[in-house]
Amino acid sequence: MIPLLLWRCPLCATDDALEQIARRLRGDLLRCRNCGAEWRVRRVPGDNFYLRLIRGGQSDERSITAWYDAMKATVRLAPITDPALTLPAGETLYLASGPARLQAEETDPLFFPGPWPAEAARADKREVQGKTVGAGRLFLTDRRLIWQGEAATCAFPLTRLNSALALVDDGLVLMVEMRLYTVRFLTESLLKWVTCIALVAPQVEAATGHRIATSHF
Amino acid sequence: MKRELEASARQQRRAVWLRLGRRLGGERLLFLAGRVLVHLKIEGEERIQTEGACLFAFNHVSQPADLLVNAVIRRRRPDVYIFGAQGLQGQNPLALFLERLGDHEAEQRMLRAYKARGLSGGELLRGCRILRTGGAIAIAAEGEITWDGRLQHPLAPGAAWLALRSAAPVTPIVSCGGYDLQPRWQMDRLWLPGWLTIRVGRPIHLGHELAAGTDSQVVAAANQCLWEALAALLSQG
Repeated sequence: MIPLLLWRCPLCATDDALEQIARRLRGDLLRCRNCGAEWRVRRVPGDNFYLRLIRGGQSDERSITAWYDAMKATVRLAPITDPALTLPAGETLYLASGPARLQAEETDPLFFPGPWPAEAARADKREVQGKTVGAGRLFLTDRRLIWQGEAATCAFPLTRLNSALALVDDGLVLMVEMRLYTVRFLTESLLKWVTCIALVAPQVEAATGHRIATSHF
Repeated sequence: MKRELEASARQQRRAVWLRLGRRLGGERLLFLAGRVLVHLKIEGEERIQTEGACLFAFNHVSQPADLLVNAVIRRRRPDVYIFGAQGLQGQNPLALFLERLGDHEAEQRMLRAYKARGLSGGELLRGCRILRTGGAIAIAAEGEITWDGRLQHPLAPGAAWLALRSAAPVTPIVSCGGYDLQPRWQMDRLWLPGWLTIRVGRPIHLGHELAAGTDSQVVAAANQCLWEALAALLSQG
């Protein structure tokens, strides 16, 4: 749905505020729960989708690509707080997820203490098997990604994060050193996470020289 | 888990229809359906090399467009290898889809793209061997489906790396108008009808004299060259 792409209202810049309302035989509506803005969705076959603002401002029709650019222009890393997370002094929280599910390699000692089957422990990375860790929340700070789950909590320093890539429309694949993790967000856009990690990545590189590869956004 | 099951069921339903189509007329029916449903036009198909090493690099706008691009390539080059994403559970959605479609050799023609930095290295080496022995590979050069319909910049480095290492010519192919068929932000819905044009460019050589000793700057330069070739094709017509 469109809120996967437009994960923030391009007008009031509120995250996760847009909802798409499907309508039979008419163009879908896109509505902001925060500012009340409303768009009518129109598809032009062979071209693109167009969103016409019909409430909350002057009538304005642009392609979804142009609205996406307008949304991206509002994105900045801004410090936030979350009652569920206490950080040491000097560390800044940028993003806190809603409910999510984490999957890790079945031989990951952080989540699945051994012993593991011998063939699993020796598995070529290309044959690696994932296993569900459970539900929880993910947090992004200027130094770490923190997973706070029902079963376990752990923190990954960004200097150990090699890549953060979107798996189609499904989940965020993190490669921490040589370990793979997949996070599936249940109520929000994975593109938001890709975008924010990509914005933090240059800071990490400037401070430590460590590069984090991310998907395009 | 529920989402995965739903996705699998959706894929299974699509595969049933496609398998039926295959029985009724194979890819001829796919092209007929393409013409009727998405006004498919193919330009420059004769530029697809029927023999010898070749890398077919195409843009990655949506799954239906990719299906037709690959069908166009396979029509002239049936032995082509393809890259498909590999998940953390070992699942390979493209191989599974092709198997459900009745293509039982899909696994053998498949090169696996892993969703993490560096993990596809082994498959790139395998791809390089295929090209050096005169094979052909089709690869979505952007690495990921576009979110907003535009050609992503820069491209993923795999296509340029393969071309430099193997000195194989690269044939750029673009699908224009495929984005609105099934955008990445709504993959559970197919929007019809559509207007899709598949355009095949002239084969290019990405610095074959540099086949040995590539480094990141050479790959980046070759990558830019390929991006420009794809962008130029997209802007035609």
